[in-house]
Amino acid sequence: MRNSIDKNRRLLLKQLASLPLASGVSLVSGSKTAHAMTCSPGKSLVCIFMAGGADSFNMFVPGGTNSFADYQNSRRDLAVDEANLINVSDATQGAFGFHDLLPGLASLYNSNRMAVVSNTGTLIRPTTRSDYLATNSIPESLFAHNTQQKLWQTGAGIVSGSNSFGWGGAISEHAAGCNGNINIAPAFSIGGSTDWLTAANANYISLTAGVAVQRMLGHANLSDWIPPERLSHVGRSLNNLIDIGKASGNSQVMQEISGAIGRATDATASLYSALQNNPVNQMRYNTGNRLAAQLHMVARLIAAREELGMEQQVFFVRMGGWDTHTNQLQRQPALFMALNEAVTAFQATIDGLNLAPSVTTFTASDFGRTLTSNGNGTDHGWGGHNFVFGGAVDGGRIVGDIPNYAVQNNEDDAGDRRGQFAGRIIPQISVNQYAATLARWMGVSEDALNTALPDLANFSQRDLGFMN
Amino acid sequence: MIVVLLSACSDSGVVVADKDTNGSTTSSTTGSTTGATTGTTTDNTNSVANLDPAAVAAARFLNQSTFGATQQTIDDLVARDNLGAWIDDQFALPTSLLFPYTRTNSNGGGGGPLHEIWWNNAVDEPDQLRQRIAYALSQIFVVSDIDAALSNAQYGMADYYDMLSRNAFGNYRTLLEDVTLHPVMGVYLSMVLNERPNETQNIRPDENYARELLQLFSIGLFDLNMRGEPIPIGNPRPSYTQETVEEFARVYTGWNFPTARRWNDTARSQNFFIGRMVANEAFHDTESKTLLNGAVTSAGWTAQQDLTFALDNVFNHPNVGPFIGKQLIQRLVTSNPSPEYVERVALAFNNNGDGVRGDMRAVIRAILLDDEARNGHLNNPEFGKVREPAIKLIHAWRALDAIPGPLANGAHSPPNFTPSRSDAILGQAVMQAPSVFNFYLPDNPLSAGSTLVSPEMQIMSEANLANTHNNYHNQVYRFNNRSNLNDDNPRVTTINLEGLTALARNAGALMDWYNLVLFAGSMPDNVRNELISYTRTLGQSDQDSFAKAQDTLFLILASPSFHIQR
Repeated sequence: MRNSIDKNRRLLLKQLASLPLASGVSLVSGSKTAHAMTCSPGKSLVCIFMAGGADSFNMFVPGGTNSFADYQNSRRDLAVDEANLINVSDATQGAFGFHDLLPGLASLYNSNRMAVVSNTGTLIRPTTRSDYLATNSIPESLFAHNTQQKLWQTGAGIVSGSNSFGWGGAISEHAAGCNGNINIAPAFSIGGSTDWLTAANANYISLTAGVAVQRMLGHANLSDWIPPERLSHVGRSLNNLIDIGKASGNSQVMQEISGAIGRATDATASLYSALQNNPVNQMRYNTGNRLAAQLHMVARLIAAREELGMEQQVFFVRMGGWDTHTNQLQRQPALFMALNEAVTAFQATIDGLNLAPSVTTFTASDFGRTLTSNGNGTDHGWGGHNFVFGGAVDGGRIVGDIPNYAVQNNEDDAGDRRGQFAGRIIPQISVNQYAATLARWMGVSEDALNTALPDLANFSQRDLGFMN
Repeated sequence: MIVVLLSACSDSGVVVADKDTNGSTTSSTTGSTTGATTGTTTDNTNSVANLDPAAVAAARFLNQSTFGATQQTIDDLVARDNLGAWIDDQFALPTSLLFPYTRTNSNGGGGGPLHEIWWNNAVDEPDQLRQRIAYALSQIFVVSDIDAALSNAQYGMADYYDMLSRNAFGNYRTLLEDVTLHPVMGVYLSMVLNERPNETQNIRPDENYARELLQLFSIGLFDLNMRGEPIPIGNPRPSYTQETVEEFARVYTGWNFPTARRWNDTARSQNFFIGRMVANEAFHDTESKTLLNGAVTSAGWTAQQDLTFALDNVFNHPNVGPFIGKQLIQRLVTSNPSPEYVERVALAFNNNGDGVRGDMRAVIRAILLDDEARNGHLNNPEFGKVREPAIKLIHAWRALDAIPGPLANGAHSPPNFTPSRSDAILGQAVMQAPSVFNFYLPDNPLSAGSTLVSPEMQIMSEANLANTHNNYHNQVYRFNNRSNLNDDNPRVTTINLEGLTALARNAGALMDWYNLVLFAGSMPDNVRNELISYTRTLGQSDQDSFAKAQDTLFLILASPSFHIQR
C-alpha cells in the first residue's frame, strides 16, 4: 500500500507545479467551497461506447406479469424468451431480467456493484410526446448515428452550437489538473477518434488494441538498422523537422500534423516501458474479442497509473456491431457474449489489482432501438438503458423509471408518421445528468460542469446518485 | 529507374544563406525561429524556383488525380501539355478489376487476395484516375467487410468495387441504382429481404438503407445551397424527416439475392453477392409513398417502378451536386474548398454543358481543372489536405519503383503489415471502414474547436502515426534494392534507391528531385535546409551517397510536410 501522507504531499506538489499551465482550472480556491474541484487520488473512468445503437431493451427486460407481456407484445418475435432471463429485482420497481448471455452483468448487479440507468438519451430539457410531435426543443437530427453519437458525447442538443467539446474532455481537463506537470495526456482512446474526449485544453492519446505500442525508430538512438554514427544525426533531424512544422506560423494544418507526430513520439516513448512493465496477463479472454482487447489495454494503463505519475485517467473504448437492423436474434448472442466476457474479465482484473473502488466503467450508445420489429431487426430509437459498474457504484438497483412498453396509448413512444406504435422511446434521463453524476465522482467542479453541460441546468436533478 | 532531368542548381543547394558546413549546427533552428517569430509567409516559400514550372504543375495535378506522381508520369504529362487531354486519355483506358484476381486466388473467404489486387492496381496499373475516383467513391458509398456478414463474401466485395470503378466515369444516377441494387450493399445496409409492413404484428419495413442513402449517399442532413452551405445559414432546415425515412423504407421492399431459389434462401453461395438484386413483388409494399418535395408514388407500382421513381426523386434534389461534389473535392484536392469552388463543381453536376445532370466526367473535369485546384496553393496557406495514409505509402512506392518481394507471387506487401491488415496500422483499408460513416467524417474538425476541417486527421492517432513511421523506417533501411532479403522477409516490397544515390553527390539536385516528385514543389525551404545540413554529416563515397539517400528519404517520409498535399 502507498503511504497516504506521502501521496498527498506528492499530489500537492504536482498541483503547485501545474499552476502556471492548467488554464481555466482554479486550484487556489480548491478547498473552500462545494463548487471546487477535488483531486481524490487515483481514479479512472472508463466509457464503453456501444457503436451503432445498442438494443438495450433486450439486455435488461421488465419482469412481472404485466410488464413482461407488454414487452413481449411490442417486440413480438424479437422478444427474449422468459426462460432466457436471469431474474433480478429492484427494491421499488420489482422484477427484471438480464439476458442470460449477460450473466456477468447480472452478477455485478446482484453484488450491488452495477446500477442500471434506465431510459437515458439525448435531451435538451425534460421532453414529452407532445413536445416531440411539436418539435419543441428536440435534439438535432434524432435517429442519425453520427449526430446522436456526437450529441451523446458532447452533451449538447445541437451539433454546431458553442458546446462542441466532449464531456469526457471536461473530465480529462480536470484530470490533467490533478495529474500536474507530466508530459502525458490523462485521456486515452483505444476505440479510435471520439468527440467524447475532445477538449479545449487537453489532448487524448489514441492507441490500437492488438497492436503493440512501438517507440518511433530513429528517435532516441533507436534503430538496429541505422549505423550508430548516423543514428544520432537522424534523430536530431527528425525532431528538427517536427519543430519546423510546429512553427509554421501560417498553416494550421501543418502545425496540427506536426503536433500530432510530436505527441506520438512522446506518448509512445512514455508508454512503452510502462506497458512493458504491466502486461496484466492475468486478464483472460478469447483473442477474437475486440472489446476485451481494448479493455485489456485499459487495464494495463490503469495498472501503470502510478508508474506514469498519474492521479486520474479517462478512457474510451468502442464496440461496434450494435446496429442490428437485420438478423437481430442471430447477431445479439455474439454481441452479448462478447460484452459479457469483456466486462467480466475486465472487472475481475481490476478487482485483482485491488483497484475496484477507484475504477468506474459505464456504457453509452448512439441511441436505443425501436421496440417494434422491422421483420427481423430493429431500427433507430432514442432512449435506452445503460450500465454503470465498479467498486464505487451504488448498485443493485435501477436508476430512473423503466418506460412503458405497451403498444396502446403509450406516452413514452415517439410513434411513427402514420400514428402507429413504433416503440421509439422518449428518454426520461438526460445524458447531461448521467454525465454530471460521473464527472462529480471524478471531482469535477460545479462550475466546470455548468460550462461543459449547459443544458444540465434544465434538469432538477444534477446527480442521479448512483456513485458512492 | 529515376531519370535525372533536373538541372543541378548550386552545389550546396541551400536557399537561405547558411555558412555552417560541419553539420553540427542545425539550420532548422534558424528556420523555425524565423517562422515562429514573424509568422509571415516566408515559412512556406520554397525552392520551387529551381524546378520547371510545367513539371511542378504536372506533379501537383498527378497527386490529386492518381496515387502519386512519379518522374515518368510527370514527364509524360509535361509532354502531353494538356490536362484535359490527359483526363480524356484516362477516361478511355480499360478498367483494372478486383474480381478476376480475387476469384482466381480465393474461395471467397478471408480478405487477402482482394486487398493484394487493390494495392497492385493502385501501384502499377495505368488507369490511375479511375482507380483514384473508385477509391473516393468507396469512401462515400461505403460497404465494409469487417462486418461478419460480408467477410466471407469476397467475390461480392470485389464485384461491388468493380461496379464503382465501372461507374466512375458514368452518370451518378446509374451509380446510385447500381449501388442500391448491389447485393453487398443489400447485406451491408439490410435492404435485401426487406418486407412490406405487417401492421397487425407491429412490423415496419427496415429503415436502414432508406436513412443512409439520404444522409450519406445523396443529399445529407440539411438543405444546401449550391455552395454546399446548410441553409438558412445559422439555422439550417433538415432536408428530410423521420417520416421521409419511413416512406422510403417502404419503397425499398421486395428485393432478393440474385440466384436465390426462394425468399429467404439461407444456402447462400458466392453468386448471391454478385450482380444485382431481383424483385419479388409478393414482398413489396404497393401502397403509395410520399417522398422528397411531396412527390408521391402511385399505389400498385412494382418494386422496380417504385425504385426508379424514388431514385429519380433523390437524384433531382438540389443538394446532390454540392453534397457529392464537395466530398469528391475533399478526397482529391482540398479539405476546405471555397464555397465558390463547390458551386462550380455543383453546377457541372447539374449540367454537363449538354443538359445532362449527374455526368461524372463533367464533375471530375470540374474538380481537377478548376482554378482553385490548379492555383489555390499560391494564395491560401490552408489549401490542400492531409494525405490518406494508404495513398501516401503508395505514392512513395510508385515514385521509388517499388517491386514485390521475390517470394511474394507478384503481390505488393509493406514491411510491417499485410495489405489486408492495413486498417490496424494505417487506420484505413479499402472497404474496411468501421461503419457506413467511413474511416473519417467529411466535417471532422482539424483540431478540437477549429473551424477548418480535416477528415484524414481523424485517423492520425498516436498508434497509427508511430506504426506508419516504423513501417517507413523498415522500408527504407531493411527493404530496398541493396537489401539481402535472404536474411529478412522475402515477401516484402522493396524500393529502389539507386536513382537517389546517383543524385546524392549533389545535395541540391537530390532535394530538387524530392521537391518535385514527392512534394510537387511544396517542400518548405527550412525542411530543405535541414536535410542539406544533414547530408553534410556524410562524405562523398558511394556508400556515403547511398546513406544520404536512405537517411534523407526516411527523414522526408517521416516529416510533417510529407503528410500534406498542397
